[in-house]
Amino acid sequence: MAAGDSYDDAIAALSDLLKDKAELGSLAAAKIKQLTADLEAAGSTPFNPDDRIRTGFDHFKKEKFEKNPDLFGELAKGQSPKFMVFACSDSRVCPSHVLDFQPGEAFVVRNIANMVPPYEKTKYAGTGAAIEYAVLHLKVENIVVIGHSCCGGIKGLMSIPDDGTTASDFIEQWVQICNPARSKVKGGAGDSSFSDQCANCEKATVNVSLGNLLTYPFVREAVVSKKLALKGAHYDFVKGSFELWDLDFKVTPPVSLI
Amino acid sequence: MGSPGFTQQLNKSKLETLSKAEDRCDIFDILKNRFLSFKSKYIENVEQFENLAKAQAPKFMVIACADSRVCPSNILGFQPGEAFVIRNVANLVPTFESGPSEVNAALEFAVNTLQVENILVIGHSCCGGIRALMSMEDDANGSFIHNWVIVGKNARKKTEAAASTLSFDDKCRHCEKESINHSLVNLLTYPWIEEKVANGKLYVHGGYYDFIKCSFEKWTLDYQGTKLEEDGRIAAKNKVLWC
Repeated sequence: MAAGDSYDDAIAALSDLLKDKAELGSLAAAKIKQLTADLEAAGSTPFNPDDRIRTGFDHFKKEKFEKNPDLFGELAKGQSPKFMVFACSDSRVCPSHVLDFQPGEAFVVRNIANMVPPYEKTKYAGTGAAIEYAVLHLKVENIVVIGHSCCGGIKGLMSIPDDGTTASDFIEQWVQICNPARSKVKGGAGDSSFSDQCANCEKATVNVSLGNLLTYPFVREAVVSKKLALKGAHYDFVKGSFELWDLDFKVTPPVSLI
Repeated sequence: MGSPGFTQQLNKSKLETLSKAEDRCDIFDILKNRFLSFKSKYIENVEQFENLAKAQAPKFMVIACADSRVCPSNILGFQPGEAFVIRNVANLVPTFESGPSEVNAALEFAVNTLQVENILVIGHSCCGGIRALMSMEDDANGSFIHNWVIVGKNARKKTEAAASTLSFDDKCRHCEKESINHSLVNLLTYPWIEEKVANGKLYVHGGYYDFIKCSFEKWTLDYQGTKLEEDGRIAAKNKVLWC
């Protein structure tokens, strides 16, 4: 190690400087704090993905699987969840955390910005397949579409320039499924800030998705015959709130006009 | 945020599930209480959560089935912030060339924006989607399920070639695993994924969860050892089985 590289020499040089220029003291303190944090991070053991998921699996097996043999015995034979949930892929909003869904309770689709595209048999067959399976085979009783705060997908939708130019291969094309929500929010925006507009859009896209659910004939039929309820929701992890609302859809009794 | 403890603490060891709830009101009361519990024990009490609310930096992207029994947060203990998750029927990944789908937008975001270090595709036992793939007639009626699971048709062909003498159930099980590897191959058709894998910045893994035995198999794509032009198969390394 060259003489100029020793830790003691470096500290001595810093002390001399601060004797001359005491006003640099708080700047030096901030930089030293950052340096300490960086060195701590560099010195810690590198992340091992195998270890991380092994720990998680062992914990699940010991604390849940082995302690609930009746439940997991039944689940091994089949599933009958009461819920289908659309949630965002965002790492912070898993429905198993936020609503503590246990194994067997919810059939969950997760995608960017928790969107439901309208009925389209080829382009978005994945969504159709999931809804078809949930409604016709699993016979879920509720479909809940859950939006959330600080959604990157919604921000992306709101950031697309008005002339429609896109920069990504797939992301912008996907989020434009909910263009009607973007138009509605921008139309009524007035003076609101961009982040307020995004927050409004998070809820407006849930409603567009609920409307899109009704474009699937098997969903319409189940809703009309009251076997299925559609609900929208918004999880705000900044405020710590969870809002839930119904898509109200009913056929009222006929009223005679004569 | 490494330990699986945080959200597991919310649960008593005996799970009370929604199947015991009597009606819709009851169910939503239960969910409300669960959210309030999550809020008080996690959002309000964990310091890291404030940072998480500002930005996410997950190290994993997980592609798992929508099946209610296989949520990666439950079976692998992922905590909030750890895994960006796609869930669809039969945990399938279509190719880059097949055009728009739910999956490729999420792949693009996770790999190019979030810059995850690991992609993990998790298949599982008794998968209804794989069963549908294996049962499909060629002239099937073009239902949604048919139009989606056909993404996995090469996995079915390989299964029929390799496992023709097995029972239908065993063929389905074989296909569940074959399909995971087929999804790993399909991941490499995305240029920005292949580039990062080739440069060692991104690792691609397969996993198989058997919920009858409660075991988990995991393997990693060996990019250097994979010669797709020769036999269309991936080479795997670091194979483990936890049971």
